[in-house]
Amino acid sequence: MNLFGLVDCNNFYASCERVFNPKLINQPIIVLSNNDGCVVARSNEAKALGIGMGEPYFKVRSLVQQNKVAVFSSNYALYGDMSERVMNLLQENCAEIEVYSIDEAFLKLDFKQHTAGDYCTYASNIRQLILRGTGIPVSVGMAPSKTLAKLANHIAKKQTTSGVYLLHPDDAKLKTLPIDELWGVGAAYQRKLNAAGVQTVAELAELPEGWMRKEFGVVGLRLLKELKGFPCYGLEPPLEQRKNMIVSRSFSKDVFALAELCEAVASYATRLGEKLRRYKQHTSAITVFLMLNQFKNNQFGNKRAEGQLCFSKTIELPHATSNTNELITWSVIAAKSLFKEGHRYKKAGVMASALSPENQLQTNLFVDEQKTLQSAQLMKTMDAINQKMGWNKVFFLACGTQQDWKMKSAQRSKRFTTSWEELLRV
Amino acid sequence: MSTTPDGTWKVPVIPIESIRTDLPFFGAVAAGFPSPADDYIEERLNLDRYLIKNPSATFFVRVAGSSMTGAGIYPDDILIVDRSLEPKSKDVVIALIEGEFTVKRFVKTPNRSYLKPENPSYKPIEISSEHPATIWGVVTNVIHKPYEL
Repeated sequence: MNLFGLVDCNNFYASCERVFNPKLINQPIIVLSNNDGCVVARSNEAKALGIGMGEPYFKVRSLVQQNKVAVFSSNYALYGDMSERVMNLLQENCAEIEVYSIDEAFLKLDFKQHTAGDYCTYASNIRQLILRGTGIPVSVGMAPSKTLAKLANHIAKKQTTSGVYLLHPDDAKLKTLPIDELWGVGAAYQRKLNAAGVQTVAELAELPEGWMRKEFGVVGLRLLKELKGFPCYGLEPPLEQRKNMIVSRSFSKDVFALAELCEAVASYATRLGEKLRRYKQHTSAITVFLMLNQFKNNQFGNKRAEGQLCFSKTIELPHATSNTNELITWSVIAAKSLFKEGHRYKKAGVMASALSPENQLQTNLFVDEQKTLQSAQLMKTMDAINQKMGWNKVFFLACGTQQDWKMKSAQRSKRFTTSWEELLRV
Repeated sequence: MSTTPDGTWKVPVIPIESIRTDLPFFGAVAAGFPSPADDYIEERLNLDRYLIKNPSATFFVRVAGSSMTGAGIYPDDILIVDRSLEPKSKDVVIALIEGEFTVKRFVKTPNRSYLKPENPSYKPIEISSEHPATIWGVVTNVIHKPYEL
């Protein structure tokens, strides 16, 4: 039997908070987005109170107060580190994994001549190992395709106490699962399928292939095949081999001024440089994007702005690099060319859009090799100082020193695993 | 070069690091004599690897109380805690009692289990159904600065 597994951390952000604050076990918790704007994570108890995903914080504030819900700003230093621990444990114990998001990973389970029971034992062991080692509870779904594995995980989480489920394409549970639980089925897809009389996953799996292809193209056809247990998607290559890397954030308040915008973009370029160097990557193109605040952008107050909300520019670099100085220079040039007076910007990002491993030298006749070596040394020194003395101790002045645009995180828990000053006290 | 008020020559001194750039390393170059130690080079001792056997499950915590001074654990020390280890009797552990963290020695007898402080001014805590405790992790090492009392 050849199966895909999906390991998904249960209410990941809330679970991370609980590892270091066990009083919160069985208590409702919500975690707010960058900037403390919206609810981005909820514990089961908070879900039961009717707090919706993505709801603006001000709308749920009274519910939060009445029910003594614990509220946290997102603590990405903590979540990122805990995620890395979970993923490392998976890597050490599974032959092939694809880290799909901060809290999910696909596994390839390829045990020859083993029974369904063996797979379930293996999955429970993995679950136990992660819970024990990190304190994070996970659910494991297994099935012959990734799409089904995702559904299997949903069932494992909602309908089992073991947290493990092996799903076959002919499982009766698919007759009651609504199609909105399906991977990649958005609202538009759903409306179209509902109109065709399809409500459940089992009904979808019975549609004729020709019809699916005609209505939803090759993606729809693949969805159908995956549901029938014929895998169309394999594991994606690991992050280091991917083609892009991105740093983006929302601002604490709308940004109007070019100078402020450039500072923000320079700071993101700095983070991007650190990220590239950590993964030993270079990029030969960068993309800067700016997003407008869609609610306040026109003179009519709260109405939705017309037209384009996101603007981006890609610049091809003279040579592949991970040097912060160069990344800042080019990102700021791109930002300046995108900037329009009078626009309210709410978010910006810098993406490394053409990655290559740093040891894969693409020499260029016009590159001063001596200079390249020197700047690599400078980056190494900066990274070392920042690692030793604390984050952002040395930085390029282009990033600004006030950083008014920087996000709020008034209720962030401690960075228990990444800062000596913030260790758990016992 | 420039002259100083007392008339002596001042030679600019360039710190050696600032003129040396890291050159690519080509391995052994066939020139001069090879180092007699070349064949004996071993990796330098690495504290991380010595102290941490399960990096993904290892956490650092800082000591707040003085209930374990007898075990050489003082306030502000840093404990290295491995969550993946099965707690054995006599291990120093981080335990949870009523939602609070505590560091104590875990002692298991045939009929009972205790969390034992190592300071005469504290009392042992028996783990029972009325006083349940969870073991959060096992302390493998203590980082203590000797000049802090």
